[in-house]
Amino acid sequence: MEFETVARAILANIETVIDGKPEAAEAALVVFLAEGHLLIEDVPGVGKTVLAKALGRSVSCSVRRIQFTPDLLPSDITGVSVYNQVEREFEFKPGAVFANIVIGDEINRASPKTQSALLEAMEERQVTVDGTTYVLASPFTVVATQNPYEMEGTYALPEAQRDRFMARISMGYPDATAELAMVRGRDAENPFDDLEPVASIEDVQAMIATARAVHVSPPVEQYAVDIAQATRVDPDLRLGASPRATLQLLRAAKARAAVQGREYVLPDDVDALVPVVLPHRLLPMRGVSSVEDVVHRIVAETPVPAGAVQPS
Amino acid sequence: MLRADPGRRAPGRSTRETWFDHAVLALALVLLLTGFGTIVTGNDWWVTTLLIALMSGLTCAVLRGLGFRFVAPVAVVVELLALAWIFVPETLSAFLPTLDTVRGLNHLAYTARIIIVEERAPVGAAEPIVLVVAASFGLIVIVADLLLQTRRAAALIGILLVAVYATPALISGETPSVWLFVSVAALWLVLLRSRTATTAFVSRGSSPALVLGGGALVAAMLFPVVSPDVGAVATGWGKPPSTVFGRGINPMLELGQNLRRNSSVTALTYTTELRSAPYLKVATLRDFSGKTWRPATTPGLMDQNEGQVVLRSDIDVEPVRTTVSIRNLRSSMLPVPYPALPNVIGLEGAWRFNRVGLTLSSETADSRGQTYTVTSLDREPTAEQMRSIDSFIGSSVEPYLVLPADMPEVIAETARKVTANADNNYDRAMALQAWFRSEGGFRYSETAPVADDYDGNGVGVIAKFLDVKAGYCVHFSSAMAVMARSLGIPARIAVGYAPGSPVGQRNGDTEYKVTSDDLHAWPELYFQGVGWVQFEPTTSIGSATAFFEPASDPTSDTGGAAPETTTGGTRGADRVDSGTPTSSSSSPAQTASRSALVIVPGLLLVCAVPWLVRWVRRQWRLSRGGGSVDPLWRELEDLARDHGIAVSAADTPRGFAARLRRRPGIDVTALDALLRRVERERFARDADVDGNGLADLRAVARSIRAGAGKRERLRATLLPESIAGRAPVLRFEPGTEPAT
Repeated sequence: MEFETVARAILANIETVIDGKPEAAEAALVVFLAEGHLLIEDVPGVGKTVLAKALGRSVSCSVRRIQFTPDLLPSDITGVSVYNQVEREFEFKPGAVFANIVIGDEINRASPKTQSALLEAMEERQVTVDGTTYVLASPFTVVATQNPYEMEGTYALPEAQRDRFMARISMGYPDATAELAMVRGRDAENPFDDLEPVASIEDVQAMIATARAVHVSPPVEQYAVDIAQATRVDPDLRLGASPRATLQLLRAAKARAAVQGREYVLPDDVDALVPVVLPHRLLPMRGVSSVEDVVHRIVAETPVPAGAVQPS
Repeated sequence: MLRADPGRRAPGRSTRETWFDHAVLALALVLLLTGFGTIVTGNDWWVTTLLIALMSGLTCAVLRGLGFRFVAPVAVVVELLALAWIFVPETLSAFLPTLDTVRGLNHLAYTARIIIVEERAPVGAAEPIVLVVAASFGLIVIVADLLLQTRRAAALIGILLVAVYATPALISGETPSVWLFVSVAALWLVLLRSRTATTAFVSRGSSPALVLGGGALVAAMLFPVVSPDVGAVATGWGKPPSTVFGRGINPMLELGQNLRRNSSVTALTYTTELRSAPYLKVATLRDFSGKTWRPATTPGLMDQNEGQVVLRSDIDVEPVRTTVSIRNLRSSMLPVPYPALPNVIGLEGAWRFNRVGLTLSSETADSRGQTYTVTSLDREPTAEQMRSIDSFIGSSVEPYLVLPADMPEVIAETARKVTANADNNYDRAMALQAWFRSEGGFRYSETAPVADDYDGNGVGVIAKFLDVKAGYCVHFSSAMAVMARSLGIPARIAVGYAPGSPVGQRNGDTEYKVTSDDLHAWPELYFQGVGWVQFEPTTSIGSATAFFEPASDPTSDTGGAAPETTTGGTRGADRVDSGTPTSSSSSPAQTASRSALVIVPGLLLVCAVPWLVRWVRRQWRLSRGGGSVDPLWRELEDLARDHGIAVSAADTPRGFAARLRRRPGIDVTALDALLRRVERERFARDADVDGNGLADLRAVARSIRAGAGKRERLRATLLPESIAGRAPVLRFEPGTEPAT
């Protein structure tokens, strides 16, 4: 099956339920194919959960949803060993993370302890309960949604944990036309009912392998490093991008190149992904209002290496 | 946009108004140029000056029209190049300046300084002077152009115009033309009005600046009328009262000016212990440029030692005293016999004893009323001793042997012929002196010099003098000095007074009276061990220098270097009837035509340099086949830059292509093909594209050019931005589109 065709089909599928948000859909797919995790940050009711569910439905893989609440326990996420009286031994009841796509709704409403249980699973791709390690499914992607910090009853996600997410997007409100169409379409029927899977789990695994094999030329590698370095010395930023950020930036760029039907990464892939991959990891200096603007400037002012890059 | 507006117009002015401003200013400057006629003679200097000024103006206009940012520096460079091409064309190598060019221009400027310091306005349009005037006007035009770009233009330009207007008056001391002032002021008011009228704050009818300016103009016109003293004050301003040998002035030229006076007045009287009346020296001229004699500008080694007169031990020397009383002579230099000793008694004020030539001069004091006693040496070598002096001379006297390169052959030839029978320097000098005084058939004439081009002491005049065989002291002394130098005898010219006539006795010594008619010039020749010895080649003036000859008539022994003076009534009339005392330059007309010949192709060549650089680079890139599209892409980027499309080093190929695509008329198909090529080549694992997209590049380039306006195309040809180097990283401004 052709990579690009499948990718287009998935995106088209998502767009039947989310109107007018192609960038968000593409970002979600790119992160999924790059085996990263996605953080969707926005006010309630703009379709965060719908996006995650639509992605899961489209690729016919298991989707589980956790609604984070303050009284949620870590074991609710990872699973728990219970004593089977019949078999007379402990039996593992898997938690919510045992799925291909895990939707963590309002992740910042849970206590930090619970949050970190999920985040650990995200990083390790396995959970250990009572001394036994259980490997998570592959592909495995957490799509967490988060309300902005100012909302009531929220625990801010520490930057170390934000760093685990490959990308952060915000949905934004739909424009008037899209909203009108949505109101008309969703009133009578649930669009999820019509959503048919367009790719099998094997297709997705093959696509992930393809994306991993996309070529990154030395100039593009250099370019990504240059941008990361620039964030570390920029006077407007208190905290720059971590090496993990550079790594994830390039991994995402590879997936994006593949989604666009290329077997090599362009600096433009990097440019397009920096605004979703970097800002949530950066801390602005006092008085700097928008990290996004700073990142835009850095992208616009970092020269693109043209020819062969000197190995350094 | 990412590009700043280069600002081709003055703030708040439309293009038409800008042209109007420039035209008015140009007219004012041309008018002011006529004011310089009072300090530079001749008609040809202003051709060159106008050419340079015009070229500076055009350079500024063209550069501004093209939207170039650094107009003034480039205009200055172009002006310097043009000056080099006009004045020192021989130093240019392939129309490019060399180190010699700098030296040449520097030398001319240096010479100009000397002329300005030494000569009195008006000066002849010698090359150095034309250079200075032309360069200044070129600069003034550039400064004016710069001022027009500023907001306070009118006021600043007013200051500039006044400065240019006042300069000739300050130099010449003559009252500048009122009408010139009125017309320039009127033009300035026009400029002022046209600018204030467009300012929102000032209503058209009652511009306060205009009222003020008009009032000032009327006042300025009335002032000379109601105040009669102004003219007199202005005339005397900057010019010392009539003097003889005024400070800082070339004495050779002063000599002519003072001799031309009709009235004969008693300059001074003196008594002396010398047996024969001495020549009284005022100044010494060493440097002969081929045009005129000048005082030594840089004293040589020997000059510094001249004060410690080193005499051969076998020569009789006797110190003698001479007391001089100045009557009607106002000067910053005092006449003394040669060689004077430094201890002069009775002087008032601060006087300096010049080691060069052993004369007295002062920066501050005045000669009037001075009575002083000076001790000089009476040297009495015999003719035999003089003959025995070796003609070998060290390097220290070389400045006294310098001859102009363009000296006519006839001078040296004549010198050799005349001295053919002599075998030592003394005999040669004597032969020359005798030839001028009697044997050569020379005639003392005050009327001979009236013929054209016979009014100076340059080499050309000397050659003519040898032919015409008539002249006066300047000709005789200059000719003998030059001929002596051509024979290897160090020579210089002394200016001062002939001995005058005895009027009686005082304190046992003969008293002599010297009048203004006794002004004189004579050559001094150097003999090692004796020092400088004066000779008298001017026929019918004084008597020949000769030293004691045991075998010959002892009565002819003058007992010293000073020649005897005839006491007859015919003496003294060594008059100079010359016209302009300044050296008339070789070729102002020639300079002007040369400048025209050289400026046009030179200008074209300068204009073509950026295009040429760009062309060579383009050809090099296009020819670098090898299947690589990289040079072609760089060429495309440069081409876009040349046509005013923003290109940033932070552009991705796709980002640049996106910007290019927005331009109307672009060949999108070819552009996309080229983009695919460059992306594959730079970023893909293997660039499996055949060919290098030359055809695509040509198609895109054609569409860029076709979509460009006339001005854009001209600018891309003449001043391609890309020759300044790689594209810079353009600063990101929030609100503009991101790179892709």
